[in-house]
Amino acid sequence: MPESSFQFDRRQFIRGAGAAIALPFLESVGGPLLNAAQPNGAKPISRMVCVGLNFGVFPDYFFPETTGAAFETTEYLKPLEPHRNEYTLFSNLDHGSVANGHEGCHALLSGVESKHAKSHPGGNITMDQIASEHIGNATRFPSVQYDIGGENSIQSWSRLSWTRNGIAIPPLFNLQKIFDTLFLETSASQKRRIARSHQLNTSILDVVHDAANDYKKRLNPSDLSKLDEYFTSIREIELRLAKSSDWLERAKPYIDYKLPDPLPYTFVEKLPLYYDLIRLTLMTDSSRIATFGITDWDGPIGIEGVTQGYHTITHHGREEARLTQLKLVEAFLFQSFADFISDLKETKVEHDASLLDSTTVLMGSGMGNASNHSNRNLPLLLAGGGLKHGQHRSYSKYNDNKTPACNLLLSMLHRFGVERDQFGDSDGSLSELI
Amino acid sequence: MALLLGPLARANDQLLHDANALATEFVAEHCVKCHGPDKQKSDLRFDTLGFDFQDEDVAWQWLDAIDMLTIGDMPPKEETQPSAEAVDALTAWLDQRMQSVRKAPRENTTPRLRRMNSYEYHYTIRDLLGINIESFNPTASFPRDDRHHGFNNLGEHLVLSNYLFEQYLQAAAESIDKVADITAKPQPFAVTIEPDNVQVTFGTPGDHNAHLENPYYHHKAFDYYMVNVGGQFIDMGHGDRKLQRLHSPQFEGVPATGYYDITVKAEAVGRINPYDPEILGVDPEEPIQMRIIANNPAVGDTAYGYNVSNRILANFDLRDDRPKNYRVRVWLDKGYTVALRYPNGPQKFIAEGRKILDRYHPETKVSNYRDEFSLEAPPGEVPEKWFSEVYQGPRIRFYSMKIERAPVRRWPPANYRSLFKTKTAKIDPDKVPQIIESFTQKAFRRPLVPGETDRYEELYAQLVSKNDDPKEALKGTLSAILSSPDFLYIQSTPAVASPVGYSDIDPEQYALASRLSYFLWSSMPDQKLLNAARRGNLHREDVIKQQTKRMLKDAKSDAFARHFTDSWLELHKLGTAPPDAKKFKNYSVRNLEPQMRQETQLFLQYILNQNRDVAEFIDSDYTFLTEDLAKHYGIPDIEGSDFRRVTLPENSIRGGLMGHASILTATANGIETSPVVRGVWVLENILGTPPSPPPPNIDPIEPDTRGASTIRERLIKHQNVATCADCHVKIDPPGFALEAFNPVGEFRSFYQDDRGKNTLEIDTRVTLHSGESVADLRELRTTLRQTRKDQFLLGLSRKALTYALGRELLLSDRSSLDHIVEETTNAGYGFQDLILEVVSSKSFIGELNSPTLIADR
Repeated sequence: MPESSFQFDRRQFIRGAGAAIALPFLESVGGPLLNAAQPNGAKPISRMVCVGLNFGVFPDYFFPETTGAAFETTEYLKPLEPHRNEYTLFSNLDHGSVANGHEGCHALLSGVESKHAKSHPGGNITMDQIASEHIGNATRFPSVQYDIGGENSIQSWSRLSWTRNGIAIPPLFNLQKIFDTLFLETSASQKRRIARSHQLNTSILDVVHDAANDYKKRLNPSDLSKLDEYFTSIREIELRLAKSSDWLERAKPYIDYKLPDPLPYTFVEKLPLYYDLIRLTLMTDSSRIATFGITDWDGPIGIEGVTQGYHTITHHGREEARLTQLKLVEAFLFQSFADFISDLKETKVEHDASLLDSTTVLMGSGMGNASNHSNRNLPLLLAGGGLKHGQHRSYSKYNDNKTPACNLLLSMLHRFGVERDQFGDSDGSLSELI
Repeated sequence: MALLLGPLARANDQLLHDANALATEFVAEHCVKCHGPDKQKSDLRFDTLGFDFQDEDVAWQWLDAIDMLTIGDMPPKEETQPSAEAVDALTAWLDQRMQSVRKAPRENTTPRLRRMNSYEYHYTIRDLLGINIESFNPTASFPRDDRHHGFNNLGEHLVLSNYLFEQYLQAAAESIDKVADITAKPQPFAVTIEPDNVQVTFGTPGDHNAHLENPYYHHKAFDYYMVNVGGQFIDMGHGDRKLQRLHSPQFEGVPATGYYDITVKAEAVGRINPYDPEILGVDPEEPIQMRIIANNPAVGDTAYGYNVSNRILANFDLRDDRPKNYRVRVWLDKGYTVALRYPNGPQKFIAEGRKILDRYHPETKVSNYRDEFSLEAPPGEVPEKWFSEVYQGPRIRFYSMKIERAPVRRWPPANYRSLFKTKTAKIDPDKVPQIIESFTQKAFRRPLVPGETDRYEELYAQLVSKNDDPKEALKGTLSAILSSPDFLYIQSTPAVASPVGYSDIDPEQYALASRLSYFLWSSMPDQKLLNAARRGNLHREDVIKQQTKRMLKDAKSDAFARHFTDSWLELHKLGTAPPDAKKFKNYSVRNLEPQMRQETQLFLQYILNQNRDVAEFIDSDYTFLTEDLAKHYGIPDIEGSDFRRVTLPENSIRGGLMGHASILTATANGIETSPVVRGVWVLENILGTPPSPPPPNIDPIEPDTRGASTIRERLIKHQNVATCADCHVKIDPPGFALEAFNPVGEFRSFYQDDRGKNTLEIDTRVTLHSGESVADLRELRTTLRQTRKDQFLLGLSRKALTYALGRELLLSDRSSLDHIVEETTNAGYGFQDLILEVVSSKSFIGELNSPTLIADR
């Protein structure tokens, strides 16, 4: 079963040369930049980006009161005004079975909390990972996960991407590491070492598979199901090792982009660089699927007037002083998102089309209102992807007539080219977007 | 719980029929109104439940009902109460029916296998390979183990995925490398970091900070006051843990793993200063502290921000105004660097520094100063006077730091010699079979089946033939052993079937040994325990109890204190929402989190080792404190950073677990408290009666802290809604009593706003669901101790047995549970007695109770 292979590379990268047994890099498709042009008749490329704001969004400054095409702009939506026809806002969508609290954040893209994964037939696999399975080996990284970092970012409640096995995929935090993973060429000696460890791991898997067969004989019948996990894991790794060999000799794409040296220190300077790297990931077809988590940050924020921690000010209790600071932070988040949308629009890819047209961008939070930790009425905004935008679409807020947020996720899958009738607790798709 | 067998024990068919009718009637009269066709409170329904006790779910629901009836929690107070005789008759009959079900042979379909979890893997690597794990953690990138009701050692929930398996391969290789990759005997190594080597700038030449790069100059925007005057020293004036730490970018980390002596020459300057202490928020009475930190530059920044590998090596109180050498010997892993901090320094120096300048130093060019600190446009001119020239506030004056490798006596290290059966660095190829066999046996925690190592020897031969390097081949082979199921899986429940492949040894004895050591140590058995297994009598009550007592005395049992408190009391939540650094400054400044954790662990260990009454968990007149914690609690006259047992003052609000800052912090979110979260915690962990989760489709109360009403007033409105009230009448009262503590567990009488101003008064007076009125936590403790002790004991036994078995409890464990409770009660409620009853229970030992059975094998 294909799923994100990014972990491989990440570990490689972090541990670098020190590791004696190193699993192989997935190597690049190489070829010229923007080589994603499809042969005649092939399906056009679809891409997606999901940005998760893990401390929610203050609803009063986000949701417009009016619906339809003439919705009034709000405090947070102002910077998106130039893109009014390129995005849609949703009201009253949420994940019905997700309880309130921070746990909702990690269920943004699945609608299922990890602790309930076992009682759902599909587990808590997230929408981006379904798309990633669909992509398989077509790009260097079936999907990528980035996160701005900070103390809360290491918590599993802030993870956006979950595999079919219920594993939270750890994101890359460091800008330089992301850049190097995407674009820094692997040295020949590194490649040799990878190939060697690849061989060693294949041998080890053979031997322990053998050992597990013996082990099996000593077990009760009731234990066999547990040991099945072991055999399945071995099979899946072997599959992955074989696939990744295909990439080993291919060159990584060259791009004319440099991160500032030294890397900036403040949140306001760092955030746009992550968006740059997401855009470059898509543009070079290194991956077509990216998730990006924004929880908190390290170091100073760099916004005059913000003196308290992000988490603290989200618990504003409607106090003036905290709300003022929260507004500064969140307005910045939307400003940089709007800049990202502009950049996607201006970036030309295959057939000279705008990158935004082939990329569906979701921005939102699995938590509705951080102040009371309500996970009803999630803040959700969808941009790009050549969909029918320019509306504030409001759905029923009454329990007997609610539209599951998974309908939106399913629509994104459809746009991506995944043919399926159902995702999570969806009861249809949002045909109004097409 | 011990229940009587009534006359119904002799039930024949007629009586059984009558009894079914009796139960049906009882249920119809007292239960169905709320748990029937009309309402299904707590998702329970009794009218359709039936009496098929073979069905595990049906049986559990009845057992829970018995518990509720016996405790008196059900039926609710306002409903007609059944007579005591009716309750006795019903519970006796149900219990008797259960007994017969328990005795009936059942096919056990629950897996008894479980893989190690991350910390078990980590400790096992330590013990198997003799590695110092203070900084070395090969499990760092393992996915989080699933927690279920607080436990993360339950087999059902410990899934093995391909992702984790890849991490296993990697971790095995790293661990073996850690022992095997030695070079020649390490040469002496020493490096001295001087003020000129310390990074004081953060910009690049030519940018607007470039003038700050002059090593003979002055303060630095990003460092928030680090000064290098004439290269003699550097002053460090801030305590913000997220900002710059003093370090040298030229020092790339120690060249090899081992012990190092770190000597820092420093002094405290400006502790007594002319400034208003309120501005900087630093107590002039307190010595200036210097903290030495080690971290790994490969996983995060050495200089600033959050680095997961940060480890505190030492804290020193600095002497005022006279330099002195401060020395510590520490274990450092290869590549680790060292940085210094001033943890009790000003936390928000940039804002505080401005205030100081405005008020005390008008002679400085404030505009320039502001330009620099606001990170905006470059200053228009170089100021005439610098901040550093006039500042007189508290700071660490740093002169030098020497990092020197401690002398190495024997080489290669002991773990290398023992793993490779050699006295030198050279490995003898003839010894390879012996090396493999001995390692396999140790890793599998049992004797080997003849021929079992053949496959590993073949792997070795295969690898040698491929790359010719015997040592590399051996490393690969040992990694394979650490990736095999025999290493990774622990048997969590005794087997019934007889395994094949063994002749004269009893594998169940060794499985029991592992079960015991993973319970008490979270790691592999030692030789003494394996010897007991070899003698074949570990299952004997006296032997296993004696082993348990021995193992509890070993330092490795700290793992039990750590992980059982994490699981039972949910202390794993500590640190998941770090308290606001400004409002609860002491939490980070005094590094309270690990101290809080340790208080609870020491408390548990004391009750365990002294075999004290389990009721002390609810209510005690002592706890364990350091100076920092004592200050946090407002308890005077405790000095120094060593933990000691402290008898609490008369009528103290502290005492028992509910007064522990660890628990009060773990049940808050770092910013505000919620009586609901704390109330649920009390129900789940002290009373053993967790409430059902709230329906997902309700909107929680939105906090409004502008001062109009307290959370209590808003929650009481909540209680007026019937569906909420059922649970909230039980949850809220203990929660309100705990409102006397802020989010980091400090006592308070008032809520406070962000400026620290008192707002509304806290009211802790509550009436418990059971009817008693209490004024505060003191009275709550006394009441619970008097009325709920048996209930607490049952809950604690449940948690201890679950943790010991590493799986969720089954119906068949109920008799073990009853036995544990009964024996512990008879023995006087001692906690050690409880643990001894757990390890000698049938659930834990299993069918290993017939000596002839063993002889037959």
